[in-house]
Amino acid sequence: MFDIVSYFTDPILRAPTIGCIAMAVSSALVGTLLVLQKRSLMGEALSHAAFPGVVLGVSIAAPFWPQESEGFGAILLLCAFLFSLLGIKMIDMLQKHCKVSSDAALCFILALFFGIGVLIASRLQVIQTAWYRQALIFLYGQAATMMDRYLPIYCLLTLFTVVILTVAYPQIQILLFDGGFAKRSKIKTRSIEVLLTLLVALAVVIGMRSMGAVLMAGMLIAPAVAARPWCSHLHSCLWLSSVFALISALTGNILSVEGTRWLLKWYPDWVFSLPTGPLILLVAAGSCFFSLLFAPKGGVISRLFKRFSYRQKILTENLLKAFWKQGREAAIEVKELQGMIPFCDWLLFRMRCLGWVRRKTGGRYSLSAEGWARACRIVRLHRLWEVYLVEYMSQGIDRVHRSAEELEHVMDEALEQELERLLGDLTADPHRQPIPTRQEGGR
Amino acid sequence: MNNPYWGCDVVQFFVVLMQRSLAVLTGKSMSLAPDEVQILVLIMIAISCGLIGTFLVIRKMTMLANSLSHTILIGIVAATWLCPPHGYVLSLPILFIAAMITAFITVGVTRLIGKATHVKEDASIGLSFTALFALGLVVLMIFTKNAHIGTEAVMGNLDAVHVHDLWLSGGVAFMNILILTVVYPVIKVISFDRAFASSARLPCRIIDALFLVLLATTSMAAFRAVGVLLVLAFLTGPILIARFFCHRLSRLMGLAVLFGIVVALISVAIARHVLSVYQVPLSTAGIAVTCIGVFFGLGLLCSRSFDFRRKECYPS
Repeated sequence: MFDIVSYFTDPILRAPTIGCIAMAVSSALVGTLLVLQKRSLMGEALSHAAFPGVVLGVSIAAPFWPQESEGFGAILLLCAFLFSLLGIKMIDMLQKHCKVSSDAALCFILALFFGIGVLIASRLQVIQTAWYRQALIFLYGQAATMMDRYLPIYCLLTLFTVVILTVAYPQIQILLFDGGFAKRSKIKTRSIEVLLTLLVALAVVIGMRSMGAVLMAGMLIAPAVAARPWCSHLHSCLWLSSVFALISALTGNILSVEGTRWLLKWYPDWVFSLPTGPLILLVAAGSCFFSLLFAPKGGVISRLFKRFSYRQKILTENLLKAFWKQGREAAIEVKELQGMIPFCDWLLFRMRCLGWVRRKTGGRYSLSAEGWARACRIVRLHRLWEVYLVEYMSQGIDRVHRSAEELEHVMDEALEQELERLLGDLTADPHRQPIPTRQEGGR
Repeated sequence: MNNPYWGCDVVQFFVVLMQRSLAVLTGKSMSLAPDEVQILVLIMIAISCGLIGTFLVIRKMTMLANSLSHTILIGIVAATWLCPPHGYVLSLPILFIAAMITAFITVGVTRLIGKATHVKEDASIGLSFTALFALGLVVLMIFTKNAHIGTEAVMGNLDAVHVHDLWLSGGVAFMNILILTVVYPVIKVISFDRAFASSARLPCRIIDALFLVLLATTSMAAFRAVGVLLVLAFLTGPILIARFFCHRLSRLMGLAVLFGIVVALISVAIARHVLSVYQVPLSTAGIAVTCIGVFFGLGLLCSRSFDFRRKECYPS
């Protein structure tokens, strides 16, 4: 069994873990803003555009600093940052000056930058294999290459992101939800947008060592998507997405270490470890899947349940009406009902449990007092609606039955009272059928 | 192995290429040098990408190509699992089936997320393809027990192409030409006016699915030569360049293919030049993409100086 504390204390494991956490927090915060702005794919462009920056950074920094020193790491980050900004600038220019649609511009620039990165990397591959390996780390990400001495840089950058977001939070909030209003009030929307772009580039750069250029885009999106169904405020969204990202980062890290150990038990001749970046992203995608399924508001299951219970309500009410038509004491055979209403057996069982129907001998059912009251109410509502539709909406008498059939199910107490007040005390509907009184309806 | 291009610079390269193609035309020699295989593979890819890419750019569907280029990794895993390849070369039918599987998984997952939940379209695209890519990567690494195969799949390695690859990319290019020629009138209408196409009862959905499969097959066929990401440059770049010079769809396709072929020739020549003159082996795919970028810049400059498209728009 593994020991989670050791991931924060062990000299080999702690730097990757903390690095992943820094990545998770910054990307979750910035990614939430991106997803809410509907610009999620910008992360994709930025992370690919940063790749040539990394390769170039390696070739610039390697002659002057020893590998795995702080200066080396910092130069790499700076170059990646500058290149990702260059990429976003070029996408912008393509859209504005060449009338290229946004998706084509994004694709072209990311492929172009990536191609240039591959070109420079292929040069490094021959003359300096060690540098080439350094650059490749940033392609898929290797959390294990995070060193203790890099941590201050990464943690400071993450802290910087958090501080900037906290300071500019009110302006960002206004810009996000009402751009027009932000422009009219005294907020400098242009500079806030630039600031956000800078933060995205920063988050990409922070995450590239752990996640890699190719997967960074997913890490910007996944925590935000996972958090979104659970909360309705920006600040709670930001918090929750950070929590989701943190959990995925930790779990992915642990999975990669423990999974490799486990696999090595079975295949002792293996020489490589499970990649951390893809595992983190898979866990994050899993958390998205989880919240999209199970979130109380807007989750797939909760919506299916709502739809199911509404349908059940309608069918039950139709069944009550069918009983009502037969009269107060009539007992009906199940077989007669089965032709009219689907899922009859289940509905009857449920109504028996609720005490609305009674079972008589020979598979016959009849309404109880409460069931009768409910049935009267439904019929009353139906006929009241028919009167309303004829008198106030000038609908033809022959057409109101269908509308009333729908409307009777969506009814609350206040609407019912309003309808009664409007129509007065009525005794018959447009088809000359009697309307059950309120007392019969059980109130 | 004696390579006639050994030690050539750019000019000599084209001279030797001319001589050898003349020799082929007059029936004197029929063997292919590695450089020629590279050129031909790149040309086939350029033809496929130019044709498919035109419709992609016009229909604003390049993000689909982007997702496919990532998820194709899963297709490759599935293909190698279904039919263990001989020396990493896939056969055309297997490739086609794998491409179909990938395309439908990708589009299915993206649509499912988009439809069943309230997630916005861009987020659902980004989420599904990165997650599928991560899945493909992990499975591929566990399958092959090799951390480097992923790098090759993303970056491509044109120097490793073989004559088998030529048959493969040639087959895909032929299939693209054939199918697009057959459906050209229909797909043209669908691309420009989808509402009209569906009201005229044209088979929009069938054409969409066909197009999707063609796109997936093209990017899959190209993955060994140029890598799954650089295909995107071939799919979008030549069309964006061609758009500086013309407006008509047929000319756009022709020019895009032409630019792709020119890029293929030049990039192999430059790679050979750099290798023989400076003794620096460079990734030919990287050079090709950089060439596309340079061409784009030149095209931009040209279109600023002369307006090539005016005559087309306002015929006298």
